[in-house]
Amino acid sequence: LSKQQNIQITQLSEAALLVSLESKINPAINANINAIRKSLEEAHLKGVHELVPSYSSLAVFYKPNEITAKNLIAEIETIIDNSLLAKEFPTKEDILTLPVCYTDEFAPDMERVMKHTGFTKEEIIKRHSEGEYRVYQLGFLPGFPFLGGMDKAISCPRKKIPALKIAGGSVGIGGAQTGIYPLQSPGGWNIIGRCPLKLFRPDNTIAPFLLSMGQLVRFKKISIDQFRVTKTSLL
Amino acid sequence: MKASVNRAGIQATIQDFGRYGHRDKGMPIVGALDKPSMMLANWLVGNQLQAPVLEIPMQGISLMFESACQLGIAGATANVELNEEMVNTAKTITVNSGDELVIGDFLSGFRLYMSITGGFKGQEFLGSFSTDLVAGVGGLGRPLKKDDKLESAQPKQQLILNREKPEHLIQKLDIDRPIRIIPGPEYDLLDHYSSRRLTNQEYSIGSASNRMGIRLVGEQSLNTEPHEELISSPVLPGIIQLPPSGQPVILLNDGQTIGGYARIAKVAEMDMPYLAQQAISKSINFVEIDITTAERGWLHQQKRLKWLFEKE
Repeated sequence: LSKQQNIQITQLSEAALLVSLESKINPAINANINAIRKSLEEAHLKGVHELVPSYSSLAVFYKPNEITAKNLIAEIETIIDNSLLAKEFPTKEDILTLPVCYTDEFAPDMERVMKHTGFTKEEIIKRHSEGEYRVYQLGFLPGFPFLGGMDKAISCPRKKIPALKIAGGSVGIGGAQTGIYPLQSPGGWNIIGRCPLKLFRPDNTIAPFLLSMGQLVRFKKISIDQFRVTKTSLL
Repeated sequence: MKASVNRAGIQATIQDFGRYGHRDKGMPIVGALDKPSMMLANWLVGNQLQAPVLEIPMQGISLMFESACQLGIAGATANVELNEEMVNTAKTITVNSGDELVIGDFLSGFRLYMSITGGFKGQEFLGSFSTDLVAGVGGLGRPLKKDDKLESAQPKQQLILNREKPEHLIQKLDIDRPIRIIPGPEYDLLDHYSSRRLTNQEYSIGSASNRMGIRLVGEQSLNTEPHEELISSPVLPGIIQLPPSGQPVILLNDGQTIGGYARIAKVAEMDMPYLAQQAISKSINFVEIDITTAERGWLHQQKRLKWLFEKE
């Protein structure tokens, strides 16, 4: 892998390394980060206790009293050399369908996106719900997915002044990406709909997160009635 | 032990060592910000050093006890009164049913840690009792409020202890010294003047600072050389980010797990407990060290702490 990709391993702190590929938001680069993460996970390296992937880099948290940065870098290099490029993208069955209700009440920023793109509401919904997305990374809030693969034509810059209160489940467009707020929070993404599923389920102490990095996702447009039914069935 | 909260203070929370292993899902590690002080508070009552404590920032609280118990107090210093009489916080404190404990204004430091025999009872979430204020999980799932009932996780009264803090385990908070930093991944993006300004100018701790991050206020802002747009990448407590305002932000334990601003520097791990004790509006300075020194210093600090607690 390292021969084909420009891989850099640097120290992020006294107890963390940063494995970086080309700094780009790109599905192939992100899939390779996921592949590196999986190989490192399987290797169970001594002293390594947490791996945190992002778009094009991966943080490796370790205990410096168990392994030195220098030795860990050497071990990681060997593992990466022996791992393959992520050629296996998930199969179609692995795509998770997330229902989204695009009703006006749930879409306070639809007009902003319409103005910016020049599309009608229907066209934006169509393009948004017909795409196939990849969870590039989770962050910002527990379980918040940064989804790549959106139709570029419906890109819309984040709001300069973030909204103070975005409802949990809100689906937003932030630049060329889309994402879902797992919790009520302030935020700058353009909200165009709401998902009735819970992406962060604190009462489920075994599996509180619905999504993980690398997961493929598609949206399915639902009506307000279907939204309510789904929401109720989850209670 | 049971106690009811008469005065809740500002954002007092239950914290332990933190919630590790879920940062890939966007869950911050949270946990006590000044670990040595938290450990010392637990040591005073004979708890495991990582037992859940109350982290009390900025100002004191008051509690009315409904049963007898023992407490330990460490970190920020304050006048502490038990039934209107001063108590010595250098020692294990024994309270009886009906006693009122009042922690007054802080004299030095910014975060006071209070332990109780058996540790504070709270919700365990993903292996930790630490409160995550954003997700509303762990501990009480929120800050302490008036009339809350606090309980010990192990109500059975254990051995009565009478410990005294060893001098060398008390953080010296009344002495000002520069905070040591190491260069971050995007340090080289700073322009020539800004990289010097970071360590040459004085900063003060902004009023909007909290457990997510410390907002620094400097007379002159920092600037970067023209560069390609950054994409978000992992961050951790101690990382100093530079937002477009040019005023740096030091991430703390409740902060995001990934961030999109330039990571210009990082506070040396060994200075994180000291940083956590710097009050809002206080002036601080930075001094740059290399990563090898930072690494060695931190390992030494950890070893020393372990040895001291084992020895005592």
